[in-house]
Amino acid sequence: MKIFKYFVLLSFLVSSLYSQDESNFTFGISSFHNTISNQDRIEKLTINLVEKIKKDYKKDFNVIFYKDEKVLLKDFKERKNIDAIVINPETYFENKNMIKEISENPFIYKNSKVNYSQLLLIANKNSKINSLKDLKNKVFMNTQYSQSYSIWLDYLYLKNTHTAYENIIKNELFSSKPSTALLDVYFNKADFCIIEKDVYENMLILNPSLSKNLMIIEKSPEIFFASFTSIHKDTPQKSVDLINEIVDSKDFKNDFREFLKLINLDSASKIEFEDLKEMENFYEEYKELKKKYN
Amino acid sequence: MNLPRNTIFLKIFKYFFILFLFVSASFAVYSVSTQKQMLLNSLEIEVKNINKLVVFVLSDALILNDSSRIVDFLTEYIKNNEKLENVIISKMDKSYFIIKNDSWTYDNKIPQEFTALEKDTETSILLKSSILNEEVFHYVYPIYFSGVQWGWIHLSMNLDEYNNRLTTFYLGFITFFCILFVVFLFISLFISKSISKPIIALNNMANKISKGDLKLRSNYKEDDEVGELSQTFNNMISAIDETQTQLKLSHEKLEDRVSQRTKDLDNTNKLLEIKTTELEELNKSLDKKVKQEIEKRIQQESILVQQSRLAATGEMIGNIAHQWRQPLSLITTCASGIKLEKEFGISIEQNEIAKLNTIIQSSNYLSKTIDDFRNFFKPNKEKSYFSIEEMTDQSITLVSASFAFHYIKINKNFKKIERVFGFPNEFSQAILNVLANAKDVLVEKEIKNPYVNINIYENEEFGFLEIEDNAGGINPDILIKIFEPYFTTKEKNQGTGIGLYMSKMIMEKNMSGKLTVENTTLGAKFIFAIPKK
Repeated sequence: MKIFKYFVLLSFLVSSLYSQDESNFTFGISSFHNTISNQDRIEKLTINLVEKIKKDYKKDFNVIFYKDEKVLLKDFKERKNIDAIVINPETYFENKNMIKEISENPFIYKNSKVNYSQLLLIANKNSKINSLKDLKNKVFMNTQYSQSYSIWLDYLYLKNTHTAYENIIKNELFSSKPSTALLDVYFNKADFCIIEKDVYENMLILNPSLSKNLMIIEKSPEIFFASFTSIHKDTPQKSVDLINEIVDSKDFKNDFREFLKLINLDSASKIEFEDLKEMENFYEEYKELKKKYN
Repeated sequence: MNLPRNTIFLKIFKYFFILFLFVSASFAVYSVSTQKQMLLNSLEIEVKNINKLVVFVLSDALILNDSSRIVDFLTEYIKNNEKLENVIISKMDKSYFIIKNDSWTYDNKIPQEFTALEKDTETSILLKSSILNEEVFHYVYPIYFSGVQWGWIHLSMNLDEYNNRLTTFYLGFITFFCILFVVFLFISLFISKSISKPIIALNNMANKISKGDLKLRSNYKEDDEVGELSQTFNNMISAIDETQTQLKLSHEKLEDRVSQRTKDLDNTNKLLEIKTTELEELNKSLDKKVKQEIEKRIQQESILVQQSRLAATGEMIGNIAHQWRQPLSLITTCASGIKLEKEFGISIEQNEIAKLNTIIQSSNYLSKTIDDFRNFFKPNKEKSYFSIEEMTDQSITLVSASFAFHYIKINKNFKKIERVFGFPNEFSQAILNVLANAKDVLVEKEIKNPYVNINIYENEEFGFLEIEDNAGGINPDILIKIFEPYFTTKEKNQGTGIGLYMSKMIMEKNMSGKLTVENTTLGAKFIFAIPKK
């Protein structure tokens, strides 16, 4: 889970966090996995959006970007400086018990229309990849800002071949978006990629002839999402209500949608912690496999 | 609005209105074409900006042949650009990225309509895109990097805004045109009315004046042609009015004069009546005188006829004398022969009988000659059909001896013609008169080789007989007088002046024919025309 751009804004709106001062809301955003250039862009976009909300609703919103996730979680636990967190799925699963205990109103950010995405391992037919075993010495077109693709690929390899995929493939490249990764495979720039099913189907709509050159090798369960947000339990209800009001307003929805598009996300959805059970199991299993074969 | 129904008004109005329509139509055509061109120019500027942006953004991808970047950017870009419908990246290796807002393809061919536009310079055109199946503004730009051509970029812009702007323009223009139409309608009416009003007023006044009201005058005083016409018209009416006044006076005077003249005329009439009475009396006496004159004339004509008969008789006797001369000589010779033979005792019975037979034959011939002449002089009582040839031959027979005596030759040229209608014996008398005159003049002038040509021919209505001598003709001074009674060129004891007059009377009064004379190169030619019916 590299990129945390999206959470940024999501954080302030969805997860309203109450700082100590009731008139001030601060979002803590993990930027640990972002590249420098991309981080600058996301931070700038996020700050712009927060400034607009401040102006429109006359509320003092703030955003703090954390390079160190441990510091972020510590501050959140103590409700020090921040009222809400925006973190990647992996961080959530590593710290799920603590987060569930001190926070509420969880949200997830989605890459597509569905809440939980299914990932597909897609190969170019010219690469002669018919199964996981054929990935040896092939070029993998990964996507920046999300670790879900490489985690699932690693999970599959550990489970089926008891070794990490990095040891098998020839090279790993990074594309800016899942759709671009698919195009790179289609145009023979790489041998295979992992993208959301939703993205693949949309790409097929745009060009049905893609399926002639591409082949689906593996499909994941529908459990993946882009990022996670929750609000500290001690945040005043008044602030939570205000955040909800902002999130529900039409103007904000439009601004927020624009913002999400700029960071390659689709939308955000309110969930319950129980909804993440299946994903938690996957991560548990992956954690076990990694411990076992690394 | 109550429109005047005058022709001049309608004409002026019509001309103004046609002028308006012409100007408006020209303006409309110019405006529409200009507006279209402006909108297309605007589209071209827009598409050029898009092209610059796309080429700039994709320059690295194009150079590095990063197909996914090209497709990714263009699909996103086209999705977010409402006007851009289609982008084609045409590479030199004949591979094509065809991007639409809902799909994209990577192919090795595109429709010919697009490749035909791939030139060394940028091109723009309105065309029906077979890819989009709609009309678009299509722009093609050759892509060069470092002086080397990489390919072409095709940009198809939808025409929604162009059409909307055009529709808005049309609506605006139509609204403007309708307002202009109404305004111009009223202006045309106003101008037409202004121009035609004084003329119509003048015309109405002229109509009233023509009905007799000469006191009317035009009030139009403007300093223009109509004002001048109005003034001239007023002057003319004043002159007419004055003339008419004078005419009335003159008329009244005339009545007096007529009255006076009538009186004079009455007096004259009375005098005339007196004179008429006198004239009637004169007429009565004149009638008597006329009757007396007519009676005298009848008597004279009777005498004339009588003289004519006498003359004819004399003529006939002459002819008979000629006819008789030879047989009488023969009888005398035979009788003398018999006598001498008896005296000298050499009489032979047989010879005597022969000579006596000759005497008998000659006597019979003489007798027959008398019969012929007697029949000839019997006037016909009724008209009948007869042959000109036969009657001519009979007449010739009667004068043949006389002509032979004077060595006058008769040349006949008779054509076979229809019978004619008239009095045959009277006709023969007329022929004899002419032949006798011919003989007399030929003898009198002592013409060498005298002859007479006699021709017979016809037309549809008449049969013709021509008698022409070679005596040199009649003196033209007297030619018109020769048919008058008592006119003769012969000495007193030789001619009566009645023959030709009687012949003309016979031909024209009795037989409804014609007798004329003319001089020919030979002599006089008498032409008889006898009706066929």
